[in-house]
Amino acid sequence: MAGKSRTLQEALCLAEQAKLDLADLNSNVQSLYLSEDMGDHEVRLLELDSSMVKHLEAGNSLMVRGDKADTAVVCTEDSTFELKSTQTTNSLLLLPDCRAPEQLVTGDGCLLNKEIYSISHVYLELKQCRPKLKKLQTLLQENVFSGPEYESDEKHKGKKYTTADLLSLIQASQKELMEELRKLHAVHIDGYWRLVDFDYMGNVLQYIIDTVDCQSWCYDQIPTDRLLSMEDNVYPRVLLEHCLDCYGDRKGMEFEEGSEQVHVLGEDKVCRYFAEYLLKGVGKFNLAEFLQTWKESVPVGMTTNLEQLEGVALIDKKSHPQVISHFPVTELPEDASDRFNRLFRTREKWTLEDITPYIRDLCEKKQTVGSLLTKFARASTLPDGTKVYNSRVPIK
Amino acid sequence: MVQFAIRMPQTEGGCPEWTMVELQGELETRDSSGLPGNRLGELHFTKGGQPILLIGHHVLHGKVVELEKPFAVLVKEKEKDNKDDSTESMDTSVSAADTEKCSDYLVKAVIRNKLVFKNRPRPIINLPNKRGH
Repeated sequence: MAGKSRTLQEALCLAEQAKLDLADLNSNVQSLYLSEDMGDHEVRLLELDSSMVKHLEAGNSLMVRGDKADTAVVCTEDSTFELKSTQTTNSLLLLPDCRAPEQLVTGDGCLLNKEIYSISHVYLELKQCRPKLKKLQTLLQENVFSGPEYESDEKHKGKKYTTADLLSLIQASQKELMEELRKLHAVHIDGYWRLVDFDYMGNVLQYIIDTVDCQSWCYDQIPTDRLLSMEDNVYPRVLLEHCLDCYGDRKGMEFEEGSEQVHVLGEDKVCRYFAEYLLKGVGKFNLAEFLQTWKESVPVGMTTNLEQLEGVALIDKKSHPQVISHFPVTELPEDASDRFNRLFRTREKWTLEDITPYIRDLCEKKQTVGSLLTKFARASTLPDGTKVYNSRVPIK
Repeated sequence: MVQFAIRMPQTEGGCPEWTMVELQGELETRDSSGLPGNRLGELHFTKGGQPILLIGHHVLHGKVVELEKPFAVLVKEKEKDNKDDSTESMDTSVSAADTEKCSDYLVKAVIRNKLVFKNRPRPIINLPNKRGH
Protein backbone atom coordinates (compact mmCIF):
# COMPACT_ATOMS: atom_id res chain seq x y z
CA MET A 1 0.00 0.00 0.00
CA ALA A 2 2.89 2.30 0.79
CA GLY A 3 3.72 4.81 -1.87
CA LYS A 4 0.52 4.26 -3.78
CA SER A 5 -1.31 7.48 -3.39
CA ARG A 6 -4.97 7.80 -3.94
CA THR A 7 -6.45 10.14 -6.43
CA LEU A 8 -9.20 12.53 -5.59
CA GLN A 9 -11.45 10.47 -7.80
CA GLU A 10 -10.81 7.31 -5.79
CA ALA A 11 -11.34 9.14 -2.55
CA LEU A 12 -14.66 10.53 -3.64
CA CYS A 13 -15.70 7.19 -4.98
CA LEU A 14 -15.00 5.58 -1.65
CA ALA A 15 -16.91 8.32 0.12
CA GLU A 16 -19.87 7.62 -2.07
CA GLN A 17 -19.69 3.93 -1.28
CA ALA A 18 -19.60 4.89 2.38
CA LYS A 19 -22.97 6.52 1.72
CA LEU A 20 -21.70 10.01 2.46
CA ASP A 21 -23.63 12.80 0.82
CA LEU A 22 -21.05 14.19 -1.58
CA ALA A 23 -23.02 17.38 -2.03
CA ASP A 24 -22.60 18.10 1.67
CA LEU A 25 -18.84 17.44 1.68
CA ASN A 26 -16.09 19.96 1.30
CA SER A 27 -14.66 19.17 -2.10
CA ASN A 28 -11.13 19.08 -0.72
CA VAL A 29 -9.91 15.85 0.82
CA GLN A 30 -6.87 15.26 2.97
CA SER A 31 -5.22 11.90 2.58
CA LEU A 32 -3.41 10.95 5.77
CA TYR A 33 -0.14 9.04 5.72
CA LEU A 34 1.91 7.72 8.58
CA SER A 35 5.45 9.07 8.44
CA GLU A 36 8.15 6.65 7.33
CA ASP A 37 10.28 7.87 10.24
CA MET A 38 7.52 7.65 12.80
CA GLY A 39 9.66 5.40 14.98
CA ASP A 40 12.43 8.00 15.20
CA HIS A 41 10.10 10.83 16.06
CA GLU A 42 10.39 10.88 19.80
CA VAL A 43 8.01 13.45 21.10
CA ARG A 44 6.38 14.14 24.39
CA LEU A 45 3.01 15.77 24.77
CA LEU A 46 2.70 18.20 27.62
CA GLU A 47 -0.66 19.65 28.55
CA LEU A 48 -0.30 23.33 29.40
CA ASP A 49 -2.71 26.05 30.29
CA SER A 50 -2.94 29.02 27.98
CA SER A 51 -1.00 31.30 30.32
CA MET A 52 2.00 28.98 30.15
CA VAL A 53 1.83 28.90 26.38
CA LYS A 54 1.96 32.70 26.41
CA HIS A 55 4.87 32.54 28.87
CA LEU A 56 6.77 30.29 26.43
CA GLU A 57 5.79 32.36 23.43
CA ALA A 58 7.28 35.39 25.12
CA GLY A 59 10.62 33.60 25.11
CA ASN A 60 10.59 32.46 28.74
CA SER A 61 11.40 28.93 29.84
CA LEU A 62 9.69 26.45 32.08
CA MET A 63 12.14 24.71 34.37
CA VAL A 64 11.82 20.99 35.09
CA ARG A 65 13.40 19.97 38.38
CA GLY A 66 13.48 16.51 39.83
CA ASP A 67 15.40 13.95 41.75
CA LYS A 68 15.41 10.27 41.11
CA ALA A 69 13.67 9.95 44.45
CA ASP A 70 10.96 12.56 44.03
CA THR A 71 8.53 13.37 41.27
CA ALA A 72 9.59 16.01 38.80
CA VAL A 73 8.09 19.46 39.02
CA VAL A 74 7.74 22.19 36.45
CA CYS A 75 8.34 25.75 37.59
CA THR A 76 7.26 29.01 36.08
CA GLU A 77 8.62 32.24 37.52
CA ASP A 78 6.18 32.14 40.40
CA SER A 79 4.50 28.72 40.67
CA THR A 80 5.31 25.04 40.96
CA PHE A 81 3.50 22.17 39.27
CA GLU A 82 3.74 18.43 39.68
CA LEU A 83 4.38 16.54 36.48
CA LYS A 84 2.17 13.52 36.02
CA SER A 85 2.23 11.05 33.17
CA THR A 86 -1.17 9.88 31.93
CA GLN A 87 -1.76 6.82 29.76
CA THR A 88 -4.67 6.67 27.39
CA THR A 89 -6.04 3.72 25.43
CA ASN A 90 -6.88 6.16 22.65
CA SER A 91 -4.45 6.82 19.84
CA LEU A 92 -3.34 10.43 19.63
CA LEU A 93 -2.19 11.20 16.09
CA LEU A 94 -0.09 14.30 15.58
CA LEU A 95 -0.69 16.06 12.31
CA PRO A 96 1.73 18.91 11.58
CA ASP A 97 -0.11 20.34 8.61
CA CYS A 98 -3.77 19.49 8.88
CA ARG A 99 -6.06 22.01 7.25
CA ALA A 100 -9.05 23.21 9.21
CA PRO A 101 -12.30 23.27 7.20
CA GLU A 102 -12.17 27.06 6.95
CA GLN A 103 -8.72 26.79 5.36
CA LEU A 104 -10.04 24.50 2.65
CA VAL A 105 -11.51 26.80 0.09
CA THR A 106 -14.28 25.00 -1.64
CA GLY A 107 -14.01 25.06 -5.38
CA ASP A 108 -12.38 22.69 -7.77
CA GLY A 109 -11.45 20.31 -5.05
CA CYS A 110 -8.16 18.57 -4.62
CA LEU A 111 -6.54 15.86 -2.64
CA LEU A 112 -3.84 16.91 -0.22
CA ASN A 113 -1.37 14.41 1.16
CA LYS A 114 -0.71 15.00 4.84
CA GLU A 115 1.79 13.18 6.97
CA ILE A 116 1.18 11.99 10.52
CA TYR A 117 4.31 12.76 12.51
CA SER A 118 3.77 10.26 15.28
CA ILE A 119 1.21 8.46 17.42
CA SER A 120 1.12 8.83 21.21
CA HIS A 121 -0.67 6.96 23.94
CA VAL A 122 0.67 8.99 26.78
CA TYR A 123 0.82 12.63 27.73
CA LEU A 124 2.09 14.72 30.61
CA GLU A 125 -0.21 16.73 32.82
CA LEU A 126 0.59 19.50 35.27
CA LYS A 127 -1.05 19.99 38.62
CA GLN A 128 -0.22 23.02 40.71
CA CYS A 129 1.36 22.06 44.01
CA ARG A 130 3.08 23.59 46.99
CA PRO A 131 6.81 24.05 46.40
CA LYS A 132 9.00 21.48 48.12
CA LEU A 133 11.08 23.70 50.34
CA LYS A 134 12.02 21.62 53.38
CA LYS A 135 15.40 20.79 51.88
CA LEU A 136 16.27 24.48 51.82
CA GLN A 137 16.63 24.67 55.61
CA THR A 138 18.75 21.53 55.66
CA LEU A 139 21.08 22.91 52.98
CA LEU A 140 21.43 26.30 54.63
CA GLN A 141 22.14 24.74 57.99
CA GLU A 142 25.38 23.36 56.60
CA ASN A 143 27.00 26.73 57.17
CA VAL A 144 25.16 29.18 59.40
CA PHE A 145 26.48 32.72 59.73
CA SER A 146 27.47 33.54 63.32
CA GLY A 147 29.56 36.64 62.81
CA PRO A 148 32.41 37.69 60.51
CA GLU A 149 35.02 36.75 63.08
CA TYR A 150 33.99 33.07 62.94
CA GLU A 151 33.82 32.74 59.16
CA SER A 152 37.11 30.91 58.83
CA ASP A 153 36.93 28.61 61.83
CA GLU A 154 36.27 24.86 61.77
CA LYS A 155 32.52 25.15 62.26
CA HIS A 156 32.10 27.30 59.17
CA LYS A 157 33.65 25.10 56.52
CA GLY A 158 30.26 23.83 55.30
CA LYS A 159 28.96 24.47 51.83
CA LYS A 160 27.44 27.83 50.97
CA TYR A 161 24.83 28.31 48.27
CA THR A 162 24.17 30.99 45.67
CA THR A 163 20.72 31.73 44.25
CA ALA A 164 21.56 29.66 41.15
CA ASP A 165 22.72 26.74 43.31
CA LEU A 166 19.50 26.79 45.29
CA LEU A 167 17.33 27.01 42.19
CA SER A 168 18.98 23.89 40.85
CA LEU A 169 18.52 22.00 44.12
CA ILE A 170 15.11 23.05 45.37
CA GLN A 171 11.83 22.13 43.70
CA ALA A 172 10.34 25.59 43.72
CA SER A 173 9.92 28.58 41.46
CA GLN A 174 12.23 31.54 41.91
CA LYS A 175 9.52 33.62 43.55
CA GLU A 176 8.60 30.85 45.98
CA LEU A 177 12.26 30.29 46.81
CA MET A 178 12.80 33.98 47.53
CA GLU A 179 9.71 34.09 49.74
CA GLU A 180 10.93 31.12 51.72
CA LEU A 181 14.38 32.64 52.15
CA ARG A 182 12.71 35.73 53.55
CA LYS A 183 10.58 33.61 55.88
CA LEU A 184 13.66 31.80 57.15
CA HIS A 185 15.37 35.17 57.73
CA ALA A 186 18.21 34.15 55.43
CA VAL A 187 20.63 36.89 54.48
CA HIS A 188 22.53 37.33 51.23
CA ILE A 189 26.20 37.83 52.16
CA ASP A 190 28.98 37.95 49.56
CA GLY A 191 26.76 36.22 47.02
CA TYR A 192 25.70 33.38 49.31
CA TRP A 193 22.44 32.77 51.12
CA ARG A 194 23.02 32.14 54.83
CA LEU A 195 20.88 31.46 57.83
CA VAL A 196 21.90 33.64 60.75
CA ASP A 197 22.66 32.02 64.07
CA PHE A 198 19.76 32.62 66.44
CA ASP A 199 21.86 34.05 69.28
CA TYR A 200 23.92 36.22 66.95
CA MET A 201 20.71 37.65 65.45
CA GLY A 202 19.55 38.38 69.00
CA ASN A 203 22.74 40.26 69.72
CA VAL A 204 22.26 42.39 66.61
CA LEU A 205 18.65 43.06 67.56
CA GLN A 206 19.64 43.97 71.11
CA TYR A 207 22.32 46.30 69.74
CA ILE A 208 19.72 48.04 67.57
CA ILE A 209 17.35 48.38 70.50
CA ASP A 210 20.13 49.79 72.71
CA THR A 211 21.20 52.21 69.99
CA VAL A 212 17.63 53.40 69.50
CA ASP A 213 17.38 54.04 73.26
CA CYS A 214 20.75 55.70 73.38
CA GLN A 215 19.94 58.04 70.49
CA SER A 216 16.43 58.67 71.86
CA TRP A 217 14.86 57.47 68.62
CA CYS A 218 11.47 55.77 68.52
CA TYR A 219 10.96 52.10 67.68
CA ASP A 220 8.47 53.04 65.03
CA GLN A 221 10.76 55.61 63.45
CA ILE A 222 14.33 54.34 63.29
CA PRO A 223 16.28 56.42 60.73
CA THR A 224 17.72 53.61 58.62
CA ASP A 225 20.66 55.41 57.04
CA ARG A 226 21.73 57.19 60.16
CA LEU A 227 21.76 53.93 62.09
CA LEU A 228 23.59 52.01 59.37
CA SER A 229 26.27 54.63 58.88
CA MET A 230 27.12 55.18 62.53
CA GLU A 231 30.88 54.97 62.80
CA ASP A 232 31.16 52.87 65.90
CA ASN A 233 28.72 50.14 64.85
CA VAL A 234 29.99 46.81 66.13
CA TYR A 235 28.03 44.72 63.61
CA PRO A 236 28.41 44.64 59.82
CA ARG A 237 26.13 46.95 57.92
CA VAL A 238 24.55 44.11 55.94
CA LEU A 239 23.55 42.32 59.15
CA LEU A 240 22.17 45.46 60.77
CA GLU A 241 20.06 46.16 57.72
CA HIS A 242 18.98 42.52 57.53
CA CYS A 243 17.96 42.56 61.18
CA LEU A 244 15.95 45.75 60.65
CA ASP A 245 14.18 44.09 57.69
CA CYS A 246 13.49 40.89 59.67
CA TYR A 247 12.03 42.64 62.70
CA GLY A 248 10.68 45.77 61.10
CA ASP A 249 9.22 47.27 57.97
CA ARG A 250 10.59 49.97 55.71
CA LYS A 251 8.65 53.19 55.47
CA GLY A 252 9.25 56.57 53.87
CA MET A 253 8.75 59.51 56.24
CA GLU A 254 8.27 63.15 55.40
CA PHE A 255 10.03 65.59 57.70
CA GLU A 256 10.37 69.35 57.55
CA GLU A 257 13.97 68.92 56.37
CA GLY A 258 12.94 66.47 53.65
CA SER A 259 12.07 62.83 53.39
CA GLU A 260 13.89 60.01 55.10
CA GLN A 261 13.61 56.28 55.04
CA VAL A 262 12.85 54.78 58.41
CA HIS A 263 12.26 51.32 59.82
CA VAL A 264 9.23 50.61 61.96
CA LEU A 265 10.20 47.92 64.42
CA GLY A 266 7.40 45.33 64.60
CA GLU A 267 6.29 44.80 68.16
CA ASP A 268 4.95 41.29 67.45
CA LYS A 269 8.12 40.20 65.70
CA VAL A 270 10.43 41.54 68.41
CA CYS A 271 8.33 40.07 71.21
CA ARG A 272 8.29 36.73 69.38
CA TYR A 273 12.08 36.75 69.23
CA PHE A 274 12.34 37.24 72.98
CA ALA A 275 9.82 34.49 73.64
CA GLU A 276 11.72 32.05 71.45
CA TYR A 277 14.93 33.08 73.15
CA LEU A 278 13.42 32.09 76.50
CA LEU A 279 11.76 28.89 75.27
CA LYS A 280 14.45 27.48 73.00
CA GLY A 281 16.04 24.38 74.42
CA VAL A 282 14.15 24.61 77.71
CA GLY A 283 11.44 22.03 77.12
CA LYS A 284 8.43 22.96 79.23
CA PHE A 285 8.14 26.30 80.94
CA ASN A 286 5.62 27.15 83.67
CA LEU A 287 3.21 29.43 81.80
CA ALA A 288 2.72 32.00 84.54
CA GLU A 289 6.45 32.29 85.14
CA PHE A 290 7.13 32.46 81.45
CA LEU A 291 4.64 35.27 80.89
CA GLN A 292 6.25 37.28 83.69
CA THR A 293 9.82 36.74 82.46
CA TRP A 294 8.83 37.41 78.87
CA LYS A 295 7.09 40.66 79.75
CA GLU A 296 10.19 41.83 81.60
CA SER A 297 12.60 40.84 78.82
CA VAL A 298 11.12 42.81 75.92
CA PRO A 299 12.14 46.42 75.23
CA VAL A 300 10.39 49.04 77.33
CA GLY A 301 7.19 50.16 75.68
CA MET A 302 6.50 46.87 73.90
CA THR A 303 3.63 44.69 75.02
CA THR A 304 3.69 40.92 74.99
CA ASN A 305 0.64 39.01 73.92
CA LEU A 306 0.16 35.23 73.58
CA GLU A 307 -1.22 35.68 70.06
CA GLN A 308 2.30 36.68 69.04
CA LEU A 309 3.34 33.07 69.62
CA GLU A 310 0.96 31.51 67.11
CA GLY A 311 2.82 28.74 65.29
CA VAL A 312 5.84 29.16 67.57
CA ALA A 313 4.83 27.83 70.98
CA LEU A 314 2.21 25.51 72.37
CA ILE A 315 0.37 25.90 75.66
CA ASP A 316 -0.81 22.85 77.57
CA LYS A 317 -3.92 24.06 79.37
CA LYS A 318 -4.71 20.67 80.85
CA SER A 319 -1.61 20.30 82.95
CA HIS A 320 -1.34 21.83 86.44
CA PRO A 321 0.22 24.28 86.43
CA GLN A 322 -0.21 25.19 82.78
CA VAL A 323 2.97 24.96 80.76
CA ILE A 324 4.25 26.38 77.48
CA SER A 325 6.81 24.83 75.15
CA HIS A 326 8.66 25.83 72.01
CA PHE A 327 6.97 24.19 69.01
CA PRO A 328 7.73 26.09 65.80
CA VAL A 329 5.81 25.18 62.66
CA THR A 330 9.00 25.75 60.64
CA GLU A 331 10.49 22.58 62.12
CA LEU A 332 7.58 20.31 61.17
CA PRO A 333 7.44 18.07 58.07
CA GLU A 334 6.10 19.70 54.90
CA ASP A 335 4.23 16.65 53.64
CA ALA A 336 0.62 16.85 54.86
CA SER A 337 0.22 13.30 56.21
CA ASP A 338 3.64 13.43 57.92
CA ARG A 339 2.72 16.78 59.39
CA PHE A 340 -0.56 15.49 60.84
CA ASN A 341 1.19 12.42 62.18
CA ARG A 342 3.69 14.61 64.00
CA LEU A 343 0.97 16.88 65.35
CA PHE A 344 -1.12 14.01 66.66
CA ARG A 345 1.96 12.40 68.16
CA THR A 346 2.64 15.62 70.04
CA ARG A 347 -0.93 16.01 71.18
CA GLU A 348 -3.77 13.52 70.82
CA LYS A 349 -6.63 16.01 70.51
CA TRP A 350 -6.46 19.51 69.07
CA THR A 351 -8.93 22.36 69.05
CA LEU A 352 -9.41 24.15 65.74
CA GLU A 353 -7.85 27.28 67.20
CA ASP A 354 -4.70 25.44 68.35
CA ILE A 355 -4.12 23.40 65.20
CA THR A 356 -4.82 26.11 62.61
CA PRO A 357 -1.41 27.83 62.79
CA TYR A 358 0.26 24.44 62.34
CA ILE A 359 -1.56 23.39 59.18
CA ARG A 360 -2.47 26.65 57.46
CA ASP A 361 0.66 26.54 55.28
CA LEU A 362 -0.30 23.07 54.00
CA CYS A 363 -3.33 24.31 52.11
CA GLU A 364 -3.02 23.76 48.38
CA LYS A 365 -4.66 26.21 46.05
CA LYS A 366 -8.38 26.51 46.89
CA GLN A 367 -7.98 24.24 49.93
CA THR A 368 -9.00 25.38 53.39
CA VAL A 369 -7.97 24.37 56.90
CA GLY A 370 -11.43 22.82 57.19
CA SER A 371 -11.02 20.60 54.15
CA LEU A 372 -7.57 19.50 55.34
CA LEU A 373 -9.06 18.51 58.70
CA THR A 374 -11.84 16.56 56.98
CA LYS A 375 -9.21 14.62 55.11
CA PHE A 376 -6.70 13.94 57.87
CA ALA A 377 -8.61 14.22 61.17
CA ARG A 378 -11.77 13.07 62.87
CA ALA A 379 -13.86 15.52 64.85
CA SER A 380 -15.44 14.75 68.23
CA THR A 381 -16.96 16.73 71.07
CA LEU A 382 -15.59 16.61 74.60
CA PRO A 383 -18.01 16.38 77.61
CA ASP A 384 -17.54 20.12 78.19
CA GLY A 385 -18.71 20.86 74.66
CA THR A 386 -15.33 21.64 73.08
CA LYS A 387 -14.94 20.37 69.55
CA VAL A 388 -11.64 18.58 69.07
CA TYR A 389 -9.82 16.76 66.29
CA ASN A 390 -7.90 13.52 66.53
CA SER A 391 -6.07 11.38 64.00
CA ARG A 392 -7.98 9.53 61.33
CA VAL A 393 -5.24 6.93 60.98
CA PRO A 394 -3.06 5.10 63.53
CA ILE A 395 -0.17 7.29 64.60
CA LYS A 396 3.22 6.14 63.37
CA MET B 1 18.92 16.63 41.08
CA VAL B 2 18.18 16.85 37.40
CA GLN B 3 17.28 20.18 35.92
CA PHE B 4 16.41 21.18 32.40
CA ALA B 5 14.39 23.82 30.61
CA ILE B 6 11.46 23.69 28.24
CA ARG B 7 11.88 26.42 25.67
CA MET B 8 10.07 27.61 22.60
CA PRO B 9 12.46 28.57 19.79
CA GLN B 10 11.68 32.15 18.85
CA THR B 11 10.92 32.01 15.17
CA GLU B 12 9.27 34.40 12.84
CA GLY B 13 5.56 33.73 12.57
CA GLY B 14 5.50 32.04 15.96
CA CYS B 15 5.38 28.43 16.98
CA PRO B 16 3.80 26.05 14.42
CA GLU B 17 0.33 24.87 15.24
CA TRP B 18 -0.43 21.20 14.82
CA THR B 19 -3.64 19.25 14.99
CA MET B 20 -4.36 16.16 17.03
CA VAL B 21 -6.53 13.35 15.73
CA GLU B 22 -7.87 11.23 18.57
CA LEU B 23 -9.05 7.73 17.73
CA GLN B 24 -10.37 5.13 20.11
CA GLY B 25 -8.16 2.12 20.49
CA GLU B 26 -5.14 1.06 18.48
CA LEU B 27 -4.39 1.30 14.79
CA GLU B 28 -3.36 -1.93 13.15
CA THR B 29 -2.44 -2.94 9.65
CA ARG B 30 -4.05 -5.90 7.97
CA ASP B 31 -0.75 -7.38 7.03
CA SER B 32 2.27 -7.19 9.27
CA SER B 33 3.89 -4.35 7.35
CA GLY B 34 3.76 -2.07 10.39
CA LEU B 35 2.38 1.41 10.50
CA PRO B 36 5.22 3.68 9.31
CA GLY B 37 4.88 4.80 5.73
CA ASN B 38 1.39 3.44 5.30
CA ARG B 39 -1.68 5.32 4.25
CA LEU B 40 -4.15 5.75 7.08
CA GLY B 41 -7.15 7.02 5.24
CA GLU B 42 -8.98 10.09 4.02
CA LEU B 43 -10.15 13.01 6.04
CA HIS B 44 -13.23 14.79 4.76
CA PHE B 45 -15.06 17.73 6.19
CA THR B 46 -18.74 18.35 5.72
CA LYS B 47 -19.75 21.82 4.61
CA GLY B 48 -20.76 22.37 8.23
CA GLY B 49 -17.17 21.63 9.31
CA GLN B 50 -17.71 18.19 10.78
CA PRO B 51 -14.77 15.83 10.21
CA ILE B 52 -15.32 12.40 8.68
CA LEU B 53 -12.52 9.89 8.53
CA LEU B 54 -12.49 6.91 6.19
CA ILE B 55 -10.09 4.23 7.36
CA GLY B 56 -10.09 0.96 5.47
CA HIS B 57 -13.72 -0.09 5.36
CA HIS B 58 -14.72 2.07 8.30
CA VAL B 59 -16.43 5.42 8.45
CA LEU B 60 -15.84 7.54 11.50
CA HIS B 61 -17.84 10.65 12.26
CA GLY B 62 -16.10 13.06 14.58
CA LYS B 63 -16.05 16.60 15.75
CA VAL B 64 -13.57 19.45 16.09
CA VAL B 65 -12.81 20.25 19.72
CA GLU B 66 -10.94 23.28 20.92
CA LEU B 67 -8.67 22.12 23.75
CA GLU B 68 -9.22 23.82 27.05
CA LYS B 69 -5.59 23.15 27.80
CA PRO B 70 -3.36 23.17 24.73
CA PHE B 71 -0.67 20.55 24.23
CA ALA B 72 2.96 21.37 23.64
CA VAL B 73 4.80 18.91 21.41
CA LEU B 74 8.21 18.55 23.01
CA VAL B 75 11.37 17.21 21.43
CA LYS B 76 14.74 16.80 23.05
CA GLU B 77 17.23 19.43 22.01
CA LYS B 78 20.13 18.00 20.06
CA GLU B 79 23.35 17.64 22.04
CA LYS B 80 25.28 20.86 22.03
CA ASP B 81 28.95 20.90 21.29
CA ASN B 82 30.34 20.40 24.74
CA LYS B 83 33.99 20.02 23.85
CA ASP B 84 35.04 23.11 25.76
CA ASP B 85 33.53 21.77 28.92
CA SER B 86 35.67 18.67 29.02
CA THR B 87 38.73 20.62 30.03
CA GLU B 88 36.83 22.65 32.57
CA SER B 89 35.45 19.60 34.26
CA MET B 90 38.93 18.93 35.58
CA ASP B 91 38.42 21.96 37.75
CA THR B 92 37.69 20.97 41.33
CA SER B 93 35.41 23.88 42.13
CA VAL B 94 32.25 22.67 40.51
CA SER B 95 29.29 24.69 41.66
CA ALA B 96 26.15 22.84 42.74
CA ALA B 97 27.89 19.54 42.16
CA ASP B 98 24.73 17.53 42.77
CA THR B 99 23.04 18.96 39.72
CA GLU B 100 23.05 16.93 36.57
CA LYS B 101 22.66 18.98 33.44
CA CYS B 102 20.25 17.37 31.03
CA SER B 103 19.47 18.47 27.55
CA ASP B 104 16.62 20.89 27.26
CA TYR B 105 13.33 20.22 25.54
CA LEU B 106 12.09 22.40 22.73
CA VAL B 107 8.48 23.12 21.91
CA LYS B 108 8.19 21.96 18.34
CA ALA B 109 4.53 22.82 18.01
CA VAL B 110 1.44 23.76 19.96
CA ILE B 111 -1.83 21.89 19.58
CA ARG B 112 -4.97 23.86 20.25
CA ASN B 113 -7.52 21.82 18.32
CA LYS B 114 -8.21 18.16 18.03
CA LEU B 115 -10.43 16.07 15.85
CA VAL B 116 -12.11 13.52 18.08
CA PHE B 117 -13.63 10.35 16.69
CA LYS B 118 -15.50 8.88 19.60
CA ASN B 119 -18.33 7.07 17.89
CA ARG B 120 -18.15 3.45 16.90
CA PRO B 121 -16.86 3.13 13.34
CA ARG B 122 -19.54 2.21 10.78
CA PRO B 123 -18.54 -0.35 8.21
CA ILE B 124 -18.65 0.42 4.48
CA ILE B 125 -20.61 -2.55 3.26
CA ASN B 126 -20.47 -2.61 -0.50
CA LEU B 127 -16.75 -2.27 -1.09
CA PRO B 128 -16.13 -3.62 -4.57
CA ASN B 129 -12.77 -5.21 -3.87
CA LYS B 130 -10.25 -6.09 -1.22
CA ARG B 131 -8.72 -2.67 -1.41
CA GLY B 132 -7.79 -0.64 1.61
CA HIS B 133 -6.80 -1.02 5.19
